[in-house]
Amino acid sequence: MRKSFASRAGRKPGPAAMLSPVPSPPAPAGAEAGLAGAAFDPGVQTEAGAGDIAAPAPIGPPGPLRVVVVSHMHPRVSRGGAEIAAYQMYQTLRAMPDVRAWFVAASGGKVSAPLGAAVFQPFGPDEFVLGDAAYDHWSHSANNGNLAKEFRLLLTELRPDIIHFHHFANIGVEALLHIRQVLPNARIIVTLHEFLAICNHFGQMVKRPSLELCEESSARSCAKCFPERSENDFFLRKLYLRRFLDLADHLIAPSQFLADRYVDWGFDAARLSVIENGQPPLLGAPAPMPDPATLTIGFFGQLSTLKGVGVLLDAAAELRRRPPKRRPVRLEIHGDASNQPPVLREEIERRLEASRSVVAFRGTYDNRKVHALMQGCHAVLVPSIWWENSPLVIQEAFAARRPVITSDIGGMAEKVRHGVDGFHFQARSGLALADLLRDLAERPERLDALQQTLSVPPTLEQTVRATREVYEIGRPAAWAPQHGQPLGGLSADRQQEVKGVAATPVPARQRPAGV
Amino acid sequence: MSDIVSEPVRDAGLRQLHIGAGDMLAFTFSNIAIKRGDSVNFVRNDDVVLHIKIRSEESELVINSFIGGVWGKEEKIPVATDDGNSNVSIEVFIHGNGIRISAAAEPVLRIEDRFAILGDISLFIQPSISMRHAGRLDLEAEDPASPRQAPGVDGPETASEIGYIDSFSYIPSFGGIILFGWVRAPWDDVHRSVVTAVFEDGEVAGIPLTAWHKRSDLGDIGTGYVMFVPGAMPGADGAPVLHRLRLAPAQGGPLHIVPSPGVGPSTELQAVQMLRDTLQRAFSGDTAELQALLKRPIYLGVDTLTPLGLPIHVEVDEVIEVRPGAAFLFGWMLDTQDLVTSVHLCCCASSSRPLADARLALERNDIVEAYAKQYGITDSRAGFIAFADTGSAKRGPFFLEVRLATGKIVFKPLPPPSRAGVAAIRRVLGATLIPADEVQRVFDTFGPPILDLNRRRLARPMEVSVATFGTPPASPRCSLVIPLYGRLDFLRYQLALFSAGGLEQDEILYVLDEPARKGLLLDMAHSAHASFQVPFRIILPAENRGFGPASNLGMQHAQGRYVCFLNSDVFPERTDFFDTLVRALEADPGLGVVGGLLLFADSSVQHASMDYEALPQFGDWLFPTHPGKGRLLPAGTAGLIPSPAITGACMLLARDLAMELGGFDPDYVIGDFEDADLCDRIVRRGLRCAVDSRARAYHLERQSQGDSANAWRHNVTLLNAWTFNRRLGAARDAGRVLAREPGR
Repeated sequence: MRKSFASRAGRKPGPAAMLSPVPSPPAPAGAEAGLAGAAFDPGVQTEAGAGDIAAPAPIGPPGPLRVVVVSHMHPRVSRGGAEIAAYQMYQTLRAMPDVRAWFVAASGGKVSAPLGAAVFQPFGPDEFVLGDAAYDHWSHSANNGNLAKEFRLLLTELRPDIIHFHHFANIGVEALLHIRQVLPNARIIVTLHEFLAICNHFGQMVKRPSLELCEESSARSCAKCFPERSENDFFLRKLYLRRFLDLADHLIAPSQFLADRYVDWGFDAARLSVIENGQPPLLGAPAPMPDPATLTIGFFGQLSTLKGVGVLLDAAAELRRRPPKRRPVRLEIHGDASNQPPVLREEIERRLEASRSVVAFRGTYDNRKVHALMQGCHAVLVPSIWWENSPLVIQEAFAARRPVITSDIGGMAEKVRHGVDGFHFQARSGLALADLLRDLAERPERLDALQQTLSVPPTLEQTVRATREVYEIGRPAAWAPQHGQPLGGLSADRQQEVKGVAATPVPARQRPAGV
Repeated sequence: MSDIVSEPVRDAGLRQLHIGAGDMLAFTFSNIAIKRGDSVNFVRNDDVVLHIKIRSEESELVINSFIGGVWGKEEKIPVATDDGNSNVSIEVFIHGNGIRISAAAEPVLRIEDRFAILGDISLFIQPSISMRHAGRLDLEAEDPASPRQAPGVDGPETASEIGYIDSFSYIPSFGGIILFGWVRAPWDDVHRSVVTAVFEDGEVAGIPLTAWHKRSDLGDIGTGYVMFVPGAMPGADGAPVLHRLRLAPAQGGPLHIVPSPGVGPSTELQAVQMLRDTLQRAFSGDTAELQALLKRPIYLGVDTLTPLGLPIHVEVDEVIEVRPGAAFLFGWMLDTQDLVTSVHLCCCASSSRPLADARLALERNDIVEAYAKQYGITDSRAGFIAFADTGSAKRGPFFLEVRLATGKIVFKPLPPPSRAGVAAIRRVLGATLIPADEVQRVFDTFGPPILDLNRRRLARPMEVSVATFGTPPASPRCSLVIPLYGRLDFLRYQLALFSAGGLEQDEILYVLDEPARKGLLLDMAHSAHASFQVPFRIILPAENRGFGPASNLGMQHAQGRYVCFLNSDVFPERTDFFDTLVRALEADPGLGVVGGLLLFADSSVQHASMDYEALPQFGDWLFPTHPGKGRLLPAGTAGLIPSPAITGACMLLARDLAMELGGFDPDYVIGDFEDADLCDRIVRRGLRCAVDSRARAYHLERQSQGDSANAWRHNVTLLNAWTFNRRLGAARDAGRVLAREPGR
């Protein structure tokens, strides 16, 4: 089944208005790339027909829909995928005539608050930064009581109908309670970007210290990763997080894989939708493939262990040792290892030097030029050794009309259909990657053929419209706690609850083979 | 009476004498004696107790002793010998415990604690030396330490003042105060009532022992007395200031004996010496009883065991005072030759039973290593912990009395008591793991004093403050009383869950049982309140007192109709948890206390009821058990589960009942068994206990109690088990039995 960019987790794809399959090209055009390019594009064509995503009716009393988009960081100081997605959504919303939008970001230690200020505005009149939260990364809890008070005041001031969280890190899950208490009628939407609630290992779901892939969290297995914590500690952590995350009216996952993991963790599938992050459309016509004399594969992003730098270098060594016969392979690295530990940096530098004949190190890049850089390659490589959710780089590659060569696990395998959007290789195997690249060098037509089937990423407009549908999904008539409701989501009928998921129709999970 | 002849002794050889205090002997060394170096020797057994000679070449009088075959240190005073051409006369004045010696106009040499020739003694004297009895001196008149002259010929100034105090001294080994002075007339038995010595810092009262003696300086205006008033000195260090002695005759008002002008305390030694001398001259009174005091070996604050050089080691490293006169001792002892008959703890005038009666051997490998070669010992249990009670109600310095097989009694000073409160209890209970077969004996011995330590710490006044966050309900339905210890962060987790609702009518009372972390907790509380907006209070006692007392403190601050004792690691599953419990109690007047169904994190049962099981390895003591623990709740379980008792981790009962019962019995140290005890007391009132399976909560048991795998934790559980079973035993003896459900 063709995956949609927007679907309700645990449900079969619904009405076309909400669950439009994403077609092949033509790619949308007309808006600028980057943060400033998130303009509304009425010309989006979909398989179901242009304009079939109707603007939802406004919520509440007449007047613009008042939306606060909350992000764990401001993209002015951090260029991660989640904050970029959040900000693009904010800009797209505010461009809509029936929406009044604000952006609230946690400082995350990267923006200094003016002396004595808890909520401040260094980036513009509708953008707010929350100061030091005294954040506890264990329970994702904000312990600064003064900030809580100021956040409540801000909510009172803005009176949003919708508060849409992208991530809850740096803000604290208690923020959901603040909203419930101050604005009982407001709707809370949370877009999940990682497995942060499920996994204390930076939400990566890889075991510590081995970095083995983790299939399922549990208090017992998590305590093995963190022997300094007890199983009961992990039980409490989950109880605490669920207490607040359950206050969300609806949750959004950018990938089915992420959604499935949260359903496994205990979230009601009916409260989860899958909506892919949107992409600003490319300007102009797609660039042609580069010189075929050399198979050029691009890597974009941080050179880190989890991003698969070791796999890349293993493959490079193998290709150097046994190069393809028909034409050479060149791996171009855009990014750096500046945030990595010195030992890893030295190791990377040493191995890069040894593989100079195969690997070219291009250094950091301006994200606004990412599409052009990608179009200088025949394909984009995403060799991460963790599950990933919906890596921005995959959507960027699709936007640049370049296929993706990626690990056959998790969000990567979901987003890149083998033989359709790119190719999979056995995750964590440099040898398998080298074999694949060697074969692609020998048979260039395999990559060329993908131009006909390659996904088109949803536009920001499409993503926002799908998200606005989620804003409309019903929630309990009144929030006021009903006596007898579970306190922390782990009700006495926990097992039944989990079984209850099974009782609700859940689509066959399209996990790729090999996961 | 002395039988010393007054004639010069001219024949050499031994003479048997009896010398009394106050006797004065005069010796005249002839020039021949001086030239030959002849000497005077008082001999007892094989020892020369006093040796006197004159060295002409140094022109000095030499005094020494020859004890145990060894000469002692020479004492010297200069004398004029005229190159041996003249005789030299000297005078020796005998004190109770020494002598005073002078030669002609030379300075007087006074020597204490040596040359004690009082009593029966042999005198060896050469013919070149003559001796005469120079008479008997009135000690009071002659001795600088003697009572002062009567202050006035007219006697005491007021009618109620019947005499004077000339000197006094507190003598620990006597366990009381010795006073000297005079009164106008001796009193008869009608005055043998309590005498109170009124000091600046307090009073010492007791039935006195009194002896009367004539004083030449008084003539017929009064009679000298020596009086012993038993009791401990009030006040701390420093010279005591005595105001008066108050007598309470059977008829009339009190009579007083007042201090002479400038009177102050004398030394113990002076007082003992004066008592000995005075009793020699006493004509009536309690002379026999006072003589008995003198026969007691006197502890003078020094170690008299070690100087003996015997292969005996009795060392005490630490003393923990349980109450005045009673203490735990931690130490070690080696006596490979069985030279020690018994060792006793002493305080004031009292001594305990032998330490061996209440002693537990401890491993001391350091002692074995240090003395294995010297004594060939292999048993590492040289250490001991002992409890000893002297019976003294007064506080005084503790010391050890070591009774040797030879009949000799020696003393060992002890370090002053150090730890108290929980630290003391931890020290005692953490000393060793007790073998299973000894628990009954050990706790029958050590249990009561440990409980005394616990009661003493709890009896201390304690400051308590209260911090309020938000506005709790004015007339709450239920008061949740939640002690916090160790994992203070549970407060945040609990309040986060409580913020979901269900507690609008109830008040939440946390009790910090770890006062050192008050600042941290208050910071956390402010943050939690800002985050969740749930009102609560924190009771902040100044001391850590354990689960039961902390819960009781919370109960005293509670205002609800019901009180729910709750652990901080209990997390209700639903918002109607407390509603369910209250409903259960209100629906059944026969139900005294109800608890929640407590689950482990994996949803298996942590607590669904509590029963008791006799453990043969612990003297068949009953221990609480939790049926079904670790198992999934049996299918079909519904509603109330009747139970002999329920856990204190979550128990809800009417506050009136809780108050009436005094909450948890604080005799249970730190936290164990107090819940079973409270339930038992509820059951004895004809009420029942139950767990309501509809009220479910997670209980992350033992999270707040830390590591239990140590002697202290193990033994505190045993102590509480011992207390619980003793109570049950008492109840059984009174015809009551532990309530059990039918069929159990």
